[in-house]
Amino acid sequence: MAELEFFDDFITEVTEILESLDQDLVELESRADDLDLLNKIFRAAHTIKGTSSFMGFTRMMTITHKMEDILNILRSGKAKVTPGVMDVILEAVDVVKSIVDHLKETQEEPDIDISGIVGKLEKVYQELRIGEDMASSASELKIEEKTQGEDIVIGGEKPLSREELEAFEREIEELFKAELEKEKVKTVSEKDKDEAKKQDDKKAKENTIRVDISRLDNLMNLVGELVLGRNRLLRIVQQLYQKYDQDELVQQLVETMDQVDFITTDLQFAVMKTRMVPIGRVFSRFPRVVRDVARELRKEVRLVIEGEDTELDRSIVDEINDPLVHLVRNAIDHGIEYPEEREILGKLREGLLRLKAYHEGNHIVIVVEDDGRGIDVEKVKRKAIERGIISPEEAKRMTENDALNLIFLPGFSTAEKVSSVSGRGVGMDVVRVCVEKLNGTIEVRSEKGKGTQIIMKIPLTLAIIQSLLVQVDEEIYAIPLVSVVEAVRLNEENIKTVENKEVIVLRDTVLPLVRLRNIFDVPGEPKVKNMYVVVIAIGEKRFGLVVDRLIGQEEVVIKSLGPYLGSVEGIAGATIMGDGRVTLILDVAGIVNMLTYSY
Amino acid sequence: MDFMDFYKTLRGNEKAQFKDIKQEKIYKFISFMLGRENYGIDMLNIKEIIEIPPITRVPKVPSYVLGVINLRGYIVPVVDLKKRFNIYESMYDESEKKIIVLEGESKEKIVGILVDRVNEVVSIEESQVELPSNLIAGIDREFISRIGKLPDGKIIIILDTYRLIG
Repeated sequence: MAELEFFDDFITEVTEILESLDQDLVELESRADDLDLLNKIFRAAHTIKGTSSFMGFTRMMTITHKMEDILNILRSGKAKVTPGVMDVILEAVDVVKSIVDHLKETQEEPDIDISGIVGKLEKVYQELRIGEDMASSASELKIEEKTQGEDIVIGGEKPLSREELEAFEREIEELFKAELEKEKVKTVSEKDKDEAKKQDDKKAKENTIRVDISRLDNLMNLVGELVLGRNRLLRIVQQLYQKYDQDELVQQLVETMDQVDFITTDLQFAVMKTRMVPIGRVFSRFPRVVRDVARELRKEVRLVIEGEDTELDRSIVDEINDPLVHLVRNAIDHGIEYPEEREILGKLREGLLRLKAYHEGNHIVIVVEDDGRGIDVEKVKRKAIERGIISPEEAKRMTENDALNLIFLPGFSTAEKVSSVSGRGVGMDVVRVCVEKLNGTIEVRSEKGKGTQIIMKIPLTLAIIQSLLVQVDEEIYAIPLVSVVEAVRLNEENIKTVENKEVIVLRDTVLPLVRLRNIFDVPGEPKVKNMYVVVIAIGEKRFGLVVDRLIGQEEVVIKSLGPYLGSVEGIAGATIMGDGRVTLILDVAGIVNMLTYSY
Repeated sequence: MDFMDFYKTLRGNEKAQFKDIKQEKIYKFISFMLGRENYGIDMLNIKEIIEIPPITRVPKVPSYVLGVINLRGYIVPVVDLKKRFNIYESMYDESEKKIIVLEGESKEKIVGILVDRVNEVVSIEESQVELPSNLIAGIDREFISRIGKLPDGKIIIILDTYRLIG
């Protein structure tokens, strides 16, 4: 048991370290001289090495040990990090990550061959060592000769300027001095800084505790129950008050009830808050993603991250990563031009990619923005016509905005050549589906030659949504309000049939109808008068859902139907109403799918 | 019959067992009725036994799934076990029907089963329990884990909980 406890701690610690390691390494590439950063990275590798050796995971230990060797040379300032070196280190980090993933599942180190990566690390180490030796001996020679030594050290980068060389010389002199003093490698001020940093880290650690997410879920459930209890109490107190409004005791009860009501609402909010995490947790992976994609496509990209402290529910954080990766890859691949092209256009060689998050009411808005070539609306229209998605007439009538949003349709891709990064024609469609699953919306804005902006709006929490309650016979269903456009009254005679499908004409547009009674096989006789059509929009699709009665708008807490039922067609989950009954929440995207299959 | 009664029965049986010390393993089941047959489910898999609350029908699921209920904030699916096993006789009053709430290995897997009547807790020695023979007709063999012989000579069909809720 004790071992298992250690194991969990080990995994959480290593996962945390690895998360920031990626980011730090990418940053190091642009700030190669930052000793603080180098030290931090070195400590990270050192910690992983230490703990994995303690746990007996030898592969992990071997790799991190070799990494540590390389980092040690870099830290000594005798050699500089180059993209080539960084590629190998990042690759090593990836291998460690895959080992950790495997550990998480099986609690055992995977049986993989690590000689490849170890060999690469050793090779880099040897190269750096040679460079180190040359650099040391070179320091006693004249500057011209030192340049030669430098060339080996930095592996093919352009020769250093005079200032840099002088700085280099000073560094080496310092190192010599340091060597004389043997043990005192660090200067006093650096040591102080390190110490201060450690203190800070320690403080932050003491102020937070790790809590198992299932405990928070449990807490959330209990609060949900409390809310139900309060609602029932409120009703009783109200009735009591109507009956005995003169009674002093009842008046006191009403006051106390108000207080309890207030606290319950606060409590619910507070519990929800505990599940919130900053989106920075997702954003922090992107410096690495951007670096890798940019390097692969030979583009130059500067990533700017804004609003990483914006908080959202933990369950959403996990869901938002994949769509974001798609969008970022797309932006670099299709949006940002090649450096040469940008220079001709009078733009900076480096393309700008901005990841931005901010709160807007009950939503979090996430924006992926680039200053690349933008989307060519005419080209989008042409492609859509080619693929038979729209007719040439439709294309003419389309607004620019509508045309842009065609890129979210299944099977749409304007990439001229298929690259390994994007252009598989699934990206944008997949992104849209992911966002809609989270009850969010996505839109694109673009200006040719200036850039593209993709804006996602997602509710802060998956757990609570605004819904429209509707009734069919005895059954009540909740429709997520985000997908409801409007609701109109309907009589049987308004319904027309086109190609065996029921439609209504609503303000000159033909709206296909779906009877909730039919798709869910609700028992009972269909109504013919005073029904309602709830107009639903999902992506670019619109349809009318026919119900018997509208009950009203209500905030509901989404719960899953559980693993026994799994996912049920057309049902997103369930919620518990004020009277304790269970009401099902419709999955409008699922209903659209049901229709495409049945027609 | 409420839970306290079960509990007392259970404790009573335990005392009885301690008197005649036997090495044999004792299985404990809740016995219940479906039609005319006696069925049993391992005590360890039972979370609780409840009266039938309002059930919300869920569309697009097998017909033996009656729907979902609210069990103190948890959404729990309820299976009509008679329908599941194609049993049509009814021997008891509707009012005697109960829902036995089962819990799987993972705590999230909770399923309620609707039964005609809940009888009692029974303890059976290992020697009185055997694998189902081919003679058992009726319900799907795959759901039966063992056949037990009760002290009064009656037969109890012991169900495989994990199959039921898996």
